[in-house]
Amino acid sequence: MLSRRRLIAGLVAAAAGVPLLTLLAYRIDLALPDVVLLLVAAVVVVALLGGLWPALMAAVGGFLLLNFYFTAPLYSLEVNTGEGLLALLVFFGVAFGVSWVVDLAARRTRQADRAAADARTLAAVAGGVLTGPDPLHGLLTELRDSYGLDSVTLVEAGTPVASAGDPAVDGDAAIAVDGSLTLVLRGRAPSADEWQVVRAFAAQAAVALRQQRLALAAEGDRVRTALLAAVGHDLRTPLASAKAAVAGLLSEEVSFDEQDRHELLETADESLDRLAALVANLLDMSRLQAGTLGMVPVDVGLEDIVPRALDELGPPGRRVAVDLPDDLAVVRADPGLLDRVLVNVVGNALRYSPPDHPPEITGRVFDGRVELRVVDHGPGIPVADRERVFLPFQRLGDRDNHTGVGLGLALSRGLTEAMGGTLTPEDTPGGGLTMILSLPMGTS
Amino acid sequence: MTRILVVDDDPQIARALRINLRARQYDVDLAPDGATALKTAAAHPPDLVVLDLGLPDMDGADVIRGLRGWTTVPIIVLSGRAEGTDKVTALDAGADDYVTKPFGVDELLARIRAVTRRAHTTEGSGPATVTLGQYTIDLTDHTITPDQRLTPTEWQLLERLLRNPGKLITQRSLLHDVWGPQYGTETNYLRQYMARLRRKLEDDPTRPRHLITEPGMGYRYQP
Repeated sequence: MLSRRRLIAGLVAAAAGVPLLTLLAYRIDLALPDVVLLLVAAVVVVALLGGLWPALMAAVGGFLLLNFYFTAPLYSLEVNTGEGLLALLVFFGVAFGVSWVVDLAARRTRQADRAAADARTLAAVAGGVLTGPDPLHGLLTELRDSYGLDSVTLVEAGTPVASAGDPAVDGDAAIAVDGSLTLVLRGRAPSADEWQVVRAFAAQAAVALRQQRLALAAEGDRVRTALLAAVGHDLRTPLASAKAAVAGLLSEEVSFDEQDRHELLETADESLDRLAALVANLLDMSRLQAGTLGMVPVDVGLEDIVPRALDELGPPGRRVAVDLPDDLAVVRADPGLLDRVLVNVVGNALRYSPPDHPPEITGRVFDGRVELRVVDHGPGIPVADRERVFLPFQRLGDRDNHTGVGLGLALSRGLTEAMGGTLTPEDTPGGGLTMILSLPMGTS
Repeated sequence: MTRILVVDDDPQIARALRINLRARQYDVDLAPDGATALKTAAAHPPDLVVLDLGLPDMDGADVIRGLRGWTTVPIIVLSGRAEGTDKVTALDAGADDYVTKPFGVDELLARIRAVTRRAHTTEGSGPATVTLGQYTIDLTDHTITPDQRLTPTEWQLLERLLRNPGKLITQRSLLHDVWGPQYGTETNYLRQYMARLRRKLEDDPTRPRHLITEPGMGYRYQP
């Protein structure tokens, strides 16, 4: 189809041009063959401008005007000479044929233009899938913009997985891609000849989604490999020392004095404690990730949980200063999980505290929630690295053997969030890190 | 001699417990599963049962119910740390106390002493005086040296704990015994009174050494 603008131009040209030309020819008294030629030219111009229908209108109009003004008998629509009839028929035949050919050519040109545009779009689409940072989103946005849609959503088994614009599970058109994937278009339904490209888009979107998932899986593999290496190291170290200590004691070739024997046993005991703590964290982490964390939230007082957590940290835990108001509201939390969170967060604070400036724990009610602050005066963490400490196996440059797998904070945040709380880092005024544990208030 | 029935399917733990307990002059029977445990307990009634909750053939709580059907023998439950709900279920089913794996032998022995002592003292009147940090508490005369005033409710609560040194007393049973049988869920009462007792009797109330909370479960007097 030609554009509406050209159609209107053609209609105007047909409605105004043809009668005007006829009138002019009549005034200057042109001969019938000349008038026929002139009107054929007019119909061609109309066809070029407005396509088939305006040209046909011009042809019919011209036919009637010729008949009326130029063929005998004049001023009637009757024809009584063979010459006149021939002229009229030739005029109409030529006008109709030319209109049709011109219109066809215009259509072909437009189709070619569109095919070229489609090819360009598809090429861009295919290139984008391979190169862009978020090819899937780019692809959907491209589709939405090129076809003037409100939104484009890729839906998998009834749930939106990606979209340009607001995600929608139903719209004006839906293209099934494969088994469970559907591309939902909102705004308008594509016309018949747009379908092919839209289908290609849909297929590309499915490929992009698959690629995105593969990339995620690869990233997951990378993390798992790093995890395995870190866990392997941290498991093996205490195992090795415990094993060495016990095997030494079992050996019949040597005899240890009482002090050495005691030291070896202490080594084994401490190593096994470290191992137990690590295994506990790993188990919690995997339960958390598998969604099988058994959680029984009850009302507990922080004044009951905090001292237990500090006890678990051994002698260093005794240095932590605790300042909890007597009337601090109870929190709603699973006591065991909260204990794990505190052991990890306070343990972390102790690790980075200077020996002469131990961490402090304070509590208050803020904004309807109970806030526990674990304040240390260590080196702190630059703002840019704040969120990174909550990723598993990050140690921020610390590589000594005593810090554990760097699982603690990741686990703490995971457990806290499972209990409906938040764990956020903040600067300690004067230097250091403050971890803010915010938990829902209890009901009693 | 005190006879202890150890129920655990792990041969290493069973062996370690057997050696440690025998070295402390306990008689030890071993059972690798729940059915054997119930049979052994019937054939040779033990003075104490140490029961692992993760048994191959039946649920730990069912073993407890099976035993409670005919005996009041003290039961100490061994549980993994993650099985918090199992622990509560076990206590509700009639277990007397729990120890979380991995546990130190000292910890288990302390629990064993606590529940066996209770088993003997419930018949008698128990000790008349108890020390708690710097205080000496006379349970018969209701006096504390150096002088410290307690309200009647505080006294009842404290006495209930001090009469069972080392033993876990559940929130429910404390509420029942001190406030009355219609009470059982008002844990905030316990929290308030325990906080008061700690302020009066603990050297550092924020780090209690003797009046210990087992969060979500109950309280324990640690001598």
